[in-house]
Amino acid sequence: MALPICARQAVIGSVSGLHRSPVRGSSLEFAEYRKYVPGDDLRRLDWRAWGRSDRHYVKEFEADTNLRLIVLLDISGSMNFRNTEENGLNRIDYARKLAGTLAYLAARQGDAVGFWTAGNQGKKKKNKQIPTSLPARRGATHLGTVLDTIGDVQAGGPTTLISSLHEAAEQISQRAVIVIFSDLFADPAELRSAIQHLRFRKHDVVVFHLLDQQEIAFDFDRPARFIDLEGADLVLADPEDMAAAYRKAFADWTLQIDGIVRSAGIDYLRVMLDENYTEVLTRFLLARTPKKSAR
Amino acid sequence: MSFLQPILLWALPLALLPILIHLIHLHRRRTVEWAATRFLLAAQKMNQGYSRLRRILILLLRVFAVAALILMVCRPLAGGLLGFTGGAPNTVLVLLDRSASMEQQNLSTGVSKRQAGLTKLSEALEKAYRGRSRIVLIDSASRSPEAVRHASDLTQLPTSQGTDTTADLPGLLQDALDYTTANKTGRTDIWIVSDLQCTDWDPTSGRWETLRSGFSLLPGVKFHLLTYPGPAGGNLSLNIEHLRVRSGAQGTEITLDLNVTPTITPKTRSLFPSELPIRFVINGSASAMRSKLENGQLAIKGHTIPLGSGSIRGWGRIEIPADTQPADNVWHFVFDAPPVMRSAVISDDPSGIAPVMAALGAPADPSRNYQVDLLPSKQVSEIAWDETGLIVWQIPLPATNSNTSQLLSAHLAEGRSLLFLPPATPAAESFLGISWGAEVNSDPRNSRKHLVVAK
Repeated sequence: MALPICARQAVIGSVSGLHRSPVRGSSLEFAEYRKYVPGDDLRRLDWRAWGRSDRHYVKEFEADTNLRLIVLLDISGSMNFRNTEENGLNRIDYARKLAGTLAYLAARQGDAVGFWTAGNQGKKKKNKQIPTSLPARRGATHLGTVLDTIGDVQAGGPTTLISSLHEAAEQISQRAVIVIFSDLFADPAELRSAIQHLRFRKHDVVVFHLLDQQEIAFDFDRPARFIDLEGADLVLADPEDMAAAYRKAFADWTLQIDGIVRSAGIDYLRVMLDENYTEVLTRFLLARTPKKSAR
Repeated sequence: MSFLQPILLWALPLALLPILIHLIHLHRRRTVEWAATRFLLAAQKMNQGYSRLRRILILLLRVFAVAALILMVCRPLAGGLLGFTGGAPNTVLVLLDRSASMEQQNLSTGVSKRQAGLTKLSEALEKAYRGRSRIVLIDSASRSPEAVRHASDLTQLPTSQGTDTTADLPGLLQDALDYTTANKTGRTDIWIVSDLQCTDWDPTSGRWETLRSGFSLLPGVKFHLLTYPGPAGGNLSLNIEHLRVRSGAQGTEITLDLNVTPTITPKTRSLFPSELPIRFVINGSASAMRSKLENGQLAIKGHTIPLGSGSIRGWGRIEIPADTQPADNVWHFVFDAPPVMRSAVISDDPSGIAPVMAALGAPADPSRNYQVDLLPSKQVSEIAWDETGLIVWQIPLPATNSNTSQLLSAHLAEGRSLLFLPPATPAAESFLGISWGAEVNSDPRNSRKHLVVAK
C-alpha cells in the first residue's frame, strides 16, 4: 500500500476523504458534546448524558474530507542550474519529478490537485500556451492536465517567488496544502513575509528547498566566469580568493532560512540534487503520516 | 650599477610576461552558469579590497621575480649603496688571456674579444670599486704582475695588448696564487678575461688540483669569469705549409703551398665568399690572384712567384682580406739563398778519414751546397764555430774545462751536431762525462779497434 499524503491540519473539502475537516460530520470519530438547541436532530441527542446530568447534549462527530494539494513550482532562471561536475539533473527537472509524483499520489487518494508557477515563463515549448496556474480539482483528466503542465513549463528569467507566494495566498481562498519547490534564492526578509502570509491564510505550507552540493561547497579549483542564470550579471571570480567569503554568505543565508521555517511552523525539506527523489518523497510522506494516537 | 652582459637587458620586457599571462587567463576563464550569484556578489563585496590587493601584490612579485632573474643573468656590478655584497675588495687581480684567439673581432663593431672584455671590465671596476681597490694585472704573455693605477688604464697598457702567443691559464692562475700568497692581498677578487679556449685552459692538467687546494686555503678570494667563448664566425685562416726559394733555368722563384681554412658556425655558414683574393707582396712588389673557395676552404699546391734574376734574398707577405681574426690573415716571411751545409773534420789521419769526408761532401740535396773542412788537431782553433753545423772529432777528447771543451759544449748547446770517432791513441780525458774505454776486439779476423764508450 502506498503512503498517503496527509494534511497536518484540518482541511475543508467538497467531498468525503481521508483528511480531517474543521466542520462536524458523520464519521465514527467522536468530536465533542454540544448543548442542544431547538432544531437539532433529536436522533443525535445523547440520552445517557441526559440521564446522568439532566441536561440536553448533542453528540458531534468528526467529518473526513478531501484536501487540496497545490503544487507551487518556482520557474525562475536559477531553477535551470545543473552541477557542472556531476552532469546530473538540473533543478527544474528534479522539481518536476517530485511535484508530478506528489500530484499523482494526491489524486490517487481522491484529493484535488492544483498547480501554480512562481516566475515568468521561460522559452515556450513548441509555441504551446502553458497556463501559469491551475485550480485544485479532482479527477484523472485534471491530473493529466496538471502533469502535462508540470512537464511543459520552462524555467527562465528573474525570480518572482515572493510576489507569486503573496498572490497564491490571496487567490487560494480555501485551505490547502501548498507544496513549494524552489531554491529560495530571494531576500530572506521578504520570504519570511510571504510564507507568513500563506500561513495567515491557514494554508499548510511545505517547502522542498532544492540545492546542489556544488552551490554549498563552491569547490572550484581555478578562476571562472560565473554567469547569473536569472539575469545579465557576470562575476569573474577566483575561488581561491572568494571561496571562504562565499561559503560564509551561503551559511548565513541558510541559517536565516532555517529561522524563517522554524518561526512559520511549516514543513521544510532541504533536498540535494544528487539525492534519490523517491527517498526524498518517502522521507516527506513518513514525516507527515500521523501516529495512531494523534487523531 | 653596470652590467657585464648588458645586451641581455633587452630581455627586460619579458618581466611583463606575468601580466600578459594574467590577461590571457582572464579571457580564457571557463564559463559557469551559476544560480547562487547573490552569494558570489556578496563574497566579492566582502573581499573586494583584500582580494584586489592580494592579486596585485602577487602579480608585482612575479614581475619582480622575472626582472630580477634577467638582471641576474646580465651580471650586474654595483658599488656604493647598491653594493650590498660587502663593498670593494682590497685587491683586484685581473688575469688577462692575451692569446691570439682573443683577437677575434666582432664584424659589426671591429672590437676584439680582448678589447671588449677589458673595456667592460675597466668600466665595471671603475663604477663598482671607485678606485678603492688595488688593481693588479697579470697577462698570459709576460706572466708578471703589474700594478695598475686606474681601472681605465687597463685598456692602454702595453701588457694588455694582443699577441700571437698561446695562453697558459693554469700557469696564470698559479701566478695569481703565488702573488696573492706572497703579498697577502687580503680580500681579493680575481677577474679572468678569457675566451675559454680548451688549449689555453688545458682542463686535463694535473695543476688544477694543486690550484684548487691552493686557493681553498685563501678564504677571501672570489673568482669572476668574464668570458667570450663563442668562436667568431666568418673567419678564414691563412696558413703556409711549405715555402722554398729555387733557382732554375728561368731564374729564381718562390714556390709555396698554402691553404685557407674557415671557422664555421651555423650563423656564419653563408658569410664566406665564393672567391677569395690573395695578395702576395715580395720585396715590396705586390701581385694578386683570386681563387675559388669550396665550402670556405682553399688549398693551393706549388704556387710559384718569380723573383727575377739575381734577387735571391728579401722579404714577403701573403694576405687575405680582413675578417674576424686579423692574426691569421697575413703570413710574413723572409728568404735568402740557402746557406752552405758546412762540416768540419778534425783528424790527424787524413787518409783514414777520407771516406767520411767524401760522405759529408756528397750533395744529398742538389739545391744546396756542401762544404767539408779538414783540420788537424793543431788547428782546432780555426774551426768556424758559427757556420759549422757538424764537427767530426777524431783526435783525443779535449781536456776538461779547456777552452776547446767549452767551445764544443756551446756548439752542442746551440743544437748543432758533434760526432766522435776513435783517435789512434785515445787518452783518458772525458767530455761531458763521456770517455773512450778499453779496446775491444770483437772480431779476431779484423785487426781494427772497436770503440767502446764507457763512463
